[in-house]
Formats: sequence, structure tokens, C-alpha cells
Amino acid sequence: MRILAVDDDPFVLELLGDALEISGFDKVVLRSNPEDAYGLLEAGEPFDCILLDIQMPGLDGIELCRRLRELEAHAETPVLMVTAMLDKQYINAAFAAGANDYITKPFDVMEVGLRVSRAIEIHQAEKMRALLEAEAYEAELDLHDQISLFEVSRLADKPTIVNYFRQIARSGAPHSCVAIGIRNLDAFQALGRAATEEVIRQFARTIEERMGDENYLCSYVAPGTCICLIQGRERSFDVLSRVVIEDALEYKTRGTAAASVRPEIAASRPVRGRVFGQFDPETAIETVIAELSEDAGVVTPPAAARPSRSSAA
Amino acid sequence: MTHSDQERFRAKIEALRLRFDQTLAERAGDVHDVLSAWDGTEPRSDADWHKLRYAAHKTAGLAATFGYGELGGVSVDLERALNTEDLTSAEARKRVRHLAEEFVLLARKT
Repeated sequence: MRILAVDDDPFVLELLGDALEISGFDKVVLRSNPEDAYGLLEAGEPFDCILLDIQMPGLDGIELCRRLRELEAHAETPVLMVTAMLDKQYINAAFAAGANDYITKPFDVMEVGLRVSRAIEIHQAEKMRALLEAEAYEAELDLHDQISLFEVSRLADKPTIVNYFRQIARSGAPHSCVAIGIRNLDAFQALGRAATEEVIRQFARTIEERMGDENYLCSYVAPGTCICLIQGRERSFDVLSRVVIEDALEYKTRGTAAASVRPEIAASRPVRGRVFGQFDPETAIETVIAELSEDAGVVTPPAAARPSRSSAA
Repeated sequence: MTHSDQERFRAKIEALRLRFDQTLAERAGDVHDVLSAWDGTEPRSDADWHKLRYAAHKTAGLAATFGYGELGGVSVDLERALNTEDLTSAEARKRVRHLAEEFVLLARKT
């Protein structure tokens, strides 16, 4: 275990060093100058725990704590402030700067090692907990969920979009349906949950942006797959061309966890619903999804359920 | 911790305490000098106030650790008085002087 202790008082520093050594810490680095100490930290020297005096000339312990928290290597390293009883007024500021605990001077030399050990144990337990949570987070990802798409407007669940489809059909208004999906979703899944969520979120946003003011509803119906229903002619879906969406997604995911993979989009051909309820919306939705999974347009739906298409209209 | 580890540790702490005693004697001398030069009702300069604060602060943090609890307590009181009381008040300055004299007395006893 490597410990860094910083105090401008040579007696306190030496005492801390002896107390830590006798407590079994084999590598204790002592610095009386806080700027020197920051130099070590900034250079990336690893430490398992850092002890800082609060009142030091020049760079005080609170400011040093604040600065070291900005260093990636020490953003979470346990920091204990070593403070005189009269410095307690500074304790809140120390915690706000990122300190984890404090030891009051005068201190019991045998207590110092115990406090440092405790701080390290807590930190390691917290790291383990975070690791387990992260693993569980990855494991629990269900791509059938509406993954953080709540901020995307005009997004509805599947029953809602089926009802909408049915209502439009009854009204006799022209309406069309299309399925669009991320063909290489597995490549994003390999990058982890953050990448997968990001690409799906941006995918939904791109559809929202491209559709603009059109009178439409969108539903996330399968992993990485949305269907869009529009009250209007199928040519409205021209704005959802593969290349346009791929380019938009690639741009939107720059600098995110999903940046290393170029999204590949698949889209079904638009299905035009027949008027007067002659066409079952659920069948239409299944048809466009099936067509999508067969990579856009190679599936011929069963004759009885085959919807009319723009090409046949 | 083995017995020899404990002995080695005690020896190191004892050596450190002896050096601390020496430092205490120097601090007591500094505070005594400030008190001797006390001009009427207060120290002569900011430098003298600083010497008092420095001696009190450095001693408050360590004296009890080396077994000098009473000196540690007086040092804490002196530092608090220097930092929190209105030193333009004659009463506060009298209290600071009294604590500083007690500090010298206890520091020289160690």
C-alpha cells in the first residue's frame, strides 16, 4: 500500500510516517511542500490513500484536495484531512473539496493506521460494489425496453400505434407504415450498454428530426427497431433513407461510447394501409418488421395478409 | 506487530519527542521574548502577533500526542483567543498575555 502524507510541520510528518509504518504500510511518501506533493500526484504516482494537513502555507490542504480530485488517477483515492481541532471550521469546505474523512490533531499514533486502513477498505468495497453494479447493469439490458427514449416525442408503445393505425384506417385517411432498424446492433452491444443505449437513443432522435412536422407516430417494437406510422402518403418516408440516417447517426454518436462503429441501417419498404378497415394493422406491422429482418424487401408476406404497397398502389 | 517492532517504534517516538522538547524550548523562548517586549498593553508588531500564533498553532497540534496534555490545552486556548477574540479589546489582550505566560511556563517544564 502506498500512502502520501503532506504536512508542513516536520514533526507531524515524521510522526505520521512512523505511525503508518508501524501499522504495516510499507511505502509511505512524506512531503512538507504541498506543491511538491501535487507534482507527484499530477505525474500520476499511484497512492492508495492521501493524508493532507489543512493549514499549510501557499497551497492549503483544501485547495490541494480540490486539485487532486480533478486528476483522473486520484479522482477517487481516499483523502483524509489531518486537522487541528481549531480547523474544524474548515471541515465542511474539505468535504466539499472531495475529502473522505478527517483525523484531528493531536492524534493517537496508533489510531492513524486504523483510520487509513478503514478508509482504504471502504474505498475498495465501494469499487467492488460499483464493479458488480456495472456488471449487473450490462447483464440486465433488455433491448426490448423503451431504452431511455422517453425524451423522444411521438414515441408510443406498440398497442398505441396499432390503435392509431386502426383509427386512421377507419377514418379513411391515407396512411403508411415503415420499419427501420439498426442492422449492426450487435456491434454496439459488443461495446457495452452505454454504446447500445446511445445509438438507439440517437436513432430515435434522428427519426424524430427527419420526420419533422409530419403527422406520425413511432414505436420501438424490437431490438434496435422502430416502426413509423404516418397519416399521409408513403413518400413521406423518403426522408428516412438509409444513408441519410446512417450519416446522421454517425455524426450524433461522435465522442460517445458508440463512436467506434459506423451504424448500418436497414429499412423496409413502406406499406400503405387500405382504407375502411380492410387491412389489419398488426399484420402490417409484423410484415414490415419481417421484411426488415430479411434485410429490406426480400420477404413476401402470406397472401392473405399481404398489404398493399406503394409499388402496387 | 512483533515485540521488536514495538520497541523500535517506541524508540523512534521517544527520539522524536526529545527533538520536539528542544523545539518547545525554542518556542517558549520566542514567546517569552514577545512578552518581555510587550509594549504597554500589546505586542509591538504584527511579527510578534505572528510568533504567538505560530507557537500556539504548532504546539496545539502535537503536544498532547507526546504526552503534554496540559500544554496542548493551553496552546489550543491561546490559538483560539488569538484567532477569534477582538484583540483591540484590553480584556482580550490581557487574556492572551495570561495564556502566553502559562504557555511559557508549561513549555519550559517539559
